[in-house]
Order: sequence, then C-alpha cells, then structure tokens
Amino acid sequence: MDDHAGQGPGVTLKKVGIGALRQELHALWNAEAIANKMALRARTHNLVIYTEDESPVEAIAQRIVDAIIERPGRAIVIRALPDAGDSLDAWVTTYRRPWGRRLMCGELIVFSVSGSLRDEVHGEVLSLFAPDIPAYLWWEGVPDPGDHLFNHLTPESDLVLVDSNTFEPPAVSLHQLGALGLPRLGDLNWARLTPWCRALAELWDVPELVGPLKAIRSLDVHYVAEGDFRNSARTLLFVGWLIDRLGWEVTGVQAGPTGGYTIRWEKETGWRGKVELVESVGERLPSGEIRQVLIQAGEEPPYVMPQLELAPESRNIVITHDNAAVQPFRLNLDYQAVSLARALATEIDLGYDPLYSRALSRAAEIVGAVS
Amino acid sequence: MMADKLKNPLRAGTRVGQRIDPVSVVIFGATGDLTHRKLVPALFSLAQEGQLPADFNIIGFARRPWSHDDFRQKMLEGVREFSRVPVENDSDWERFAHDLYYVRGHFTQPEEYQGLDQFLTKQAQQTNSPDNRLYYLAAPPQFYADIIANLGQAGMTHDSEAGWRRIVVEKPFGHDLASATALNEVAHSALGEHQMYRIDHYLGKETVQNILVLRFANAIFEPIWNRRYVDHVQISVAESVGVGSRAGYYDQAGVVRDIFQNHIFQILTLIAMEPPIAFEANAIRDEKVKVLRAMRPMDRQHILEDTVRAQYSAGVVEGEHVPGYCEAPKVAEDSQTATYAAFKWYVDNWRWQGVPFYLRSGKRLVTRATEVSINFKRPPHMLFDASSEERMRANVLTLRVQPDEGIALRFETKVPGQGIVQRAVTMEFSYGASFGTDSSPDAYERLLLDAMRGDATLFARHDEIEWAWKLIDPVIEGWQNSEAPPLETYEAGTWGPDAADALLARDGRQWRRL
Repeated sequence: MDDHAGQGPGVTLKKVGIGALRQELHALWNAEAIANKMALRARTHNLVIYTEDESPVEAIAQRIVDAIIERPGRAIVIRALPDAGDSLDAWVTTYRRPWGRRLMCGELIVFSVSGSLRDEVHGEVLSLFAPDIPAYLWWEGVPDPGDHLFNHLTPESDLVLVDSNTFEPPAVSLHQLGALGLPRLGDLNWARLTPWCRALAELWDVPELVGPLKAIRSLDVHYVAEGDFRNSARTLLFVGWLIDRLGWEVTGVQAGPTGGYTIRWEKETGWRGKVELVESVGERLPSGEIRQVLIQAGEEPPYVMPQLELAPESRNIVITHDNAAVQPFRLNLDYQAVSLARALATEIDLGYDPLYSRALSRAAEIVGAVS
Repeated sequence: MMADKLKNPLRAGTRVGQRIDPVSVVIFGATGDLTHRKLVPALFSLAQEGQLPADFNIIGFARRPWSHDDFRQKMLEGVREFSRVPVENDSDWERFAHDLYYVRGHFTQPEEYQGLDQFLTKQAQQTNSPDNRLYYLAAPPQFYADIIANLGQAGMTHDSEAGWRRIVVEKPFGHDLASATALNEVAHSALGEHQMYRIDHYLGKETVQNILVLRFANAIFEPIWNRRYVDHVQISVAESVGVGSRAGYYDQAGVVRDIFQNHIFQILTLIAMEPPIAFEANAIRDEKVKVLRAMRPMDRQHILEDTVRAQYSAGVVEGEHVPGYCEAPKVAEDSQTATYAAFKWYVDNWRWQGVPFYLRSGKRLVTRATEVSINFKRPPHMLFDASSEERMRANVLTLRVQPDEGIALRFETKVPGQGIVQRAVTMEFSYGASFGTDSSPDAYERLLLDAMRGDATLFARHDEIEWAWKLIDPVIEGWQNSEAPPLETYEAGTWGPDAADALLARDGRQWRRL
C-alpha cells in the first residue's frame, strides 16, 4: 500500500524519489499556485516529527496534518520502522486551511525509513529545512540519549517537543525524560495544564487566602487514571510546577497500594505538608485529566479549605470555599480542553518555557524518590 | 483591596499571566452601533477564549425602554454578525448572556445614575467580588461631559477599597482645542488622569503596535531612521466606504477631525518618536507628545501650499454605482465638508528636519487600505548607466496596517541575463504567512483587555489630544477664509483629486499605489 501515491481522508500523498524531493515540492507549489490563486504559502517554521507508528503512511500523514493544522509550515515526518531491512521512501503533499478569504498552505514531507538507514536520514531531513525560520523537533515517545538520529537533529532544533500525555508508562518515562536534561525541551502536556495553573493561581489573588496559603497543610490532586498505564504524567507535572513555585523541598514519596502517590515536603521555614495524588476511575473525562484539587491550609483551625473542581458539562473549573475561616466564595473559571493541535500551536507560539524544565525536574524527582 | 498580584508565586514569570480583576463594564450608549458591532462582540470573543474574569458583567445604559432580555437579544444579533469567535452553540451564548444587563437611564439626568450605582453595588455584593467598574462612553460625544460630570456627582468615579474606577472615552475627544480642553477639565474634576483611557482603535492593531517593535527591537532600522537616509514618509488611510449612518456626525467633523487628528497623528508619532526610556505608558506617551510639539504649525501660506481638501462626487466603487457625498442623507446639499485631505507636514526636530511627511485620507477611494511608507534616498552615486538610473527607484519600507498586514522592503536587483538591467523587487513579511495564525485579536479586544488590566500604553493622554488639536485647529480655521485652497472634487472610486497628486509632484515625488 505504501508503494504508491495514497490518499487519506483529506491528504493526498505523492510518492517521490529522494533525489527529486525538491523538484517535486517546487512542482507542487506551482500547481497549487495555478489551481488556487488564493493560496498563501506559510513560511513559519520547520517541524520534524519522529514517529515509530506502524500505521499506513497515509493514516500517519492525516494524523499529523490534523495535529499541525493550526500552525501550517514545513513539516517533515520521519516514520521509522526499526525492525525492517534497509529502505528509505519519501512522499510529499501540501495541506491547507482557511485563512480569512484565503487559504494558508503548508507542506508535508514523509520519510519512511528502516534498517541502518534510519540513523542516517538526518542528512536528508536537514537539507530540506527552510532557512532563517525556527525549527522544532517533535519526538513521539521518550528520546534515547544515545540515539544517533536524535543527536543529529537536536542541535538544529530551536525546541524539542514531546507529548508526555502519550508516555507509556507515564511516570517512569517522565523520570527518564527529566534525567536527559535536554536544554530546550517543551511538552504538549504543558499547554494542556494551563487552565489548571491559571485556576490555582486565582486562589493566591484572594486577599483573605494569601496568609493561610503560606501554610498549606495538605493538597489533594484527583486525576483520571484509566487504562493500563494510569496516566499520571500531567498531574506529576502540575505538582512539580507547584512544588517549584512554592519553594517546597520533597522529603519523601510513597506510591499508594492502588496507584497514586503521597508526597511529603518541607519549606525552608520548617513548615511541613503533604500532597496526595489520587487516582480516579469511572470518570467521563480523558485519562490523565485533573479532576479536582482540594487544599487545607492555615497555621491553626479553622483552616481554609478551598476546592477546585472540573465541571466539564459547563466547561468550568469551579472554585469554592465555604467553611468558617473566610467569607464563602465561588468562582467559575472558563475551561476548555486543550486539543492536540491547540497544544502544539501554543508550544510553537510561546516557545521554550524554563518553568517547564523546572516542573519536569521536580516531577522526575518525585518519581525517583518513590520508596 | 486586591492582593498584590506581582507577589502571587503562581503568576510571576509564568504563562498564566496577569489576572484581570472581576469587573463590571458599563456601556453608556448601549443601544448604539458601536456597542453591538464592536464592543460586545469583542467581549464575547474574549470570554470564549477564557480571557475574562469569572465575575464579569456588562451593563448597558441608555434611554430606550429595553429589558435585560431585549438587550441580550440585540447583542446576540451583533455577536452573530460581527464576533471574531463565532457563536457555535446556544450554551456558549447563554453563558455569556447571563452576565448581560440593561439599565435604562438618561445621560443628562443625575438622579438616574444613583439607580445605576445601586445596581452595580448589588451585583458586586451578590457575587461577593470587588466592585471594579470600567465605564465605556459609546454615547454621542455631546453627552461625554454630562456623563462624566454625573458619574462624579454621584460619587461613582473614585477608586476606593471597594474597587477601582476607570473610564474609556471613544473618539472624538472634543471637536477642537477649546472643547477638548474643556472636556479634559470636566474629566479631571471627576477622575484622575490615570483613570482616563482615551481610545483610538488604531493603536489596538497589531501592525501599529509592531511599529515600535520594528524600530526598537531591530538593529538595522534605527540607524537609518532619520533625515540622512529618509527622503520622505507617506501615511495613507484610504476607505472605500462612504459616510453611511454617520453622515450627521461626519458632516460636522469632516475627514480631518475624523481621521487625521487621531489615527494618522497617532501613527505619525509612533513613526517619528525617539526611543522611549522604557516600554511603559508614560514614557511612550512623553515621546509621542514631543513629536506633536515638534510638528510645524500650519500658517496661512502653508495651508495654501501644503494642504488639499476635496469631496467625492458620484462614481463607481467596487463595481457599484454610489452617490456623491452631498446626496447622502443628513448631508446638506451644499455641504463644504472635506471627505478627502492631503497634507505635507514637517517635524522640526534633529531627526526629521527637512523630511516631509505626506499624509492623506479619504472616503470612497478605490479600496480600503492603510499603510505607512518610509521612502529612502537614492544612492549618492550611480554606477550603472543613465537609462538604468532613470528607471531606478528608491528603497521603500512599507508597513501595511490593513488589509494583508505586513511589511515589505523594496530594493533594486539585477534582472537575470546578459548585461546590467535593474528592476525593483520586494521582500515581504506577511503576518499570515509568517505566523500561520487565523486572525489577530480585534483591536477592541486588545484595548478592552488593556483597560481592564490598567495598562494605558495604547491610550492617548490629555496632552496628546490637546497638542493634536493645536495642529489641526489652524487648518480647519484656515480653510474657512477666502485664501484657502478650494474644495476640490474627486470621483468616487478614484484615488482622490488631482491636486493631491500635484502636492507631491511639485516636490518631484508621487503617492504610492496602495
């Protein structure tokens, strides 16, 4: 099936010889310009996507186009099939989306490579980079630090992206990723966390809570853990971010008997507290999604106990507080689940975020400290 | 009092960004066009993208006997037609509409402001949130002073523990220097300058904001951004539309008050200003005011030689026959109002001495386009043959504000082949092609958010307004006397009167084709 020009649901691939790639791209653009006078060629970035997906190349192309459609550019997919013999095939296509009264077009090049050629395909890939615009490398899975291909692509990339939401197993993979110490790393899961980070930050804007929140006693994070791998990556990043921002030092971590973690921490002042990561099943939410955050804070009773809860039907994160410590309040914050395409667009737009690296480092520290 | 947001450890330096306080946006003139075409659609888009605080209300205030539901229905029509973010389902709208209210009142009746005040106080109490208020004057300008004075008299303008108070004022801010100064005095009797947000929606446009980034975040432009390298500057604001429903106002104002005193002068100040000491509201506004103060006042001779005024007659625009200006409803048959103007203006300072700024704007022109062009001087010595030199054009850096926002640099290059033949080509930057984004936020979205955040960088200060009128008033007065340049006529669907071309031709220059 992969040997011939294929057609996915919306993507038509043209198989081309490696030596004729540039001419074919040029011809494609000429054809696009003739067929569609309203087409505007995006010169935004180079995006290399590495995958070991064994699906038909047309299906991979469609999946990638769906993911990159919000930020069209030059996308180069490396589909690696490590267990096959030496082969290198290439396909090209253009893809487009409405842009005002015009069409914004990007180009997609797919390499399917196997055998020993896999480690050497970087030359072909780098030669296709459009100059003077940023380059991103989106690596599906956790990169191997000794990978020849990865090590040739990263120096040419302004940002290496992963999606920890797809890690299997999530916690161990997150730990491995943190251990790599990659200098400019981004994560699509980081973009998905923004609504929760924003919601939690609201609490520190409430004057009556600022004092008690300096003395957090416990913080419970409930997250949806469906499937074999109990997706904890996003929650670990969330807690890693919080620990980093609030200056907590992790003093001990225990894995729960049925999943989840208990994390004990201490501040410089000697104040101690704990974070419980609690698995939640049977939810009508995607695996990995944070569902609820419960806080108990204050040096002495009555404690403040704000709650944040995801209400997907009303697209809100609802923040409530109704015990005696402070005046009751309720806030509804707009919540929109961040799609893969939106997450990718966000990471590309905002670029490297050092706070992600610090959150990852703290999350990896939690996983590494499990006793 | 709100906690110090800068001390919030979960916000500082993060993508989470600055919080917008709970706020009630009170729109005076809620039944008008601006409200349902621009303001509420902009707020709806912001709400859909989660950029507004949870406790957020819009309160429409106007004379018509509308109910809350009447107001919501009318706003729904506006949002459906004009919002950048579409209404995708009923629940989107219902969530937003839940926070829309209408209070009936007359702008000139002080006692009716008490009812509004009580309504706003009750709203804040019900949600137990701060009583922050952003008053938006979208009413006819003749009511601005009354509204501000009545708000002041009702005790509704003072920042307090209960919440902050800000007021956004739409253009026109006065119709001359005297009225603008009087309005500023009324405003300052009720509000501090830090509470005033005089809006010019051009400053909310990406490309206009990008002028500062282009100039001050790149090393290659600023060294040549002066009289030594720049031959002249052109600023053009072309509209293909006529006066439409604004005829009554427009016939009093004319193109100079409508476009030059605000939009064009704002762009000109950003182009001509010196680097501010910081990217901060007053630092930028200080530099803009210096430019206005350096602009050469128009005396009688300059008005005669360096200004052109004209009015459109019937013609064809975008394939449709359109009537002349004087045939529009609410316009006097013998109206002398200019719908087109062109100027040659100088900025008398060290940087721009001797560099003319050609400014033009008109209605019913060929197309809608706004651009700034920096026209550089030719090379001092020509290596190539004379025929080539004749054809050779100067470098031009063009900042396109609308449509197709972007930047282009024109330069000479050799035509491939034998011999040396030159041709001008362009290097182009397009927002769409370079960022791949659908659309930038509407200018009103950006400016409303800034006002809610308390960032006045993109709003005009009182002295900017007053200096602009000081420059414009003599022109408008000069056009009234017998020695004034005649009111020219231009056919709708053209680029304006021949006199405008002659204005540049006298200097050996020509307008850029937009």
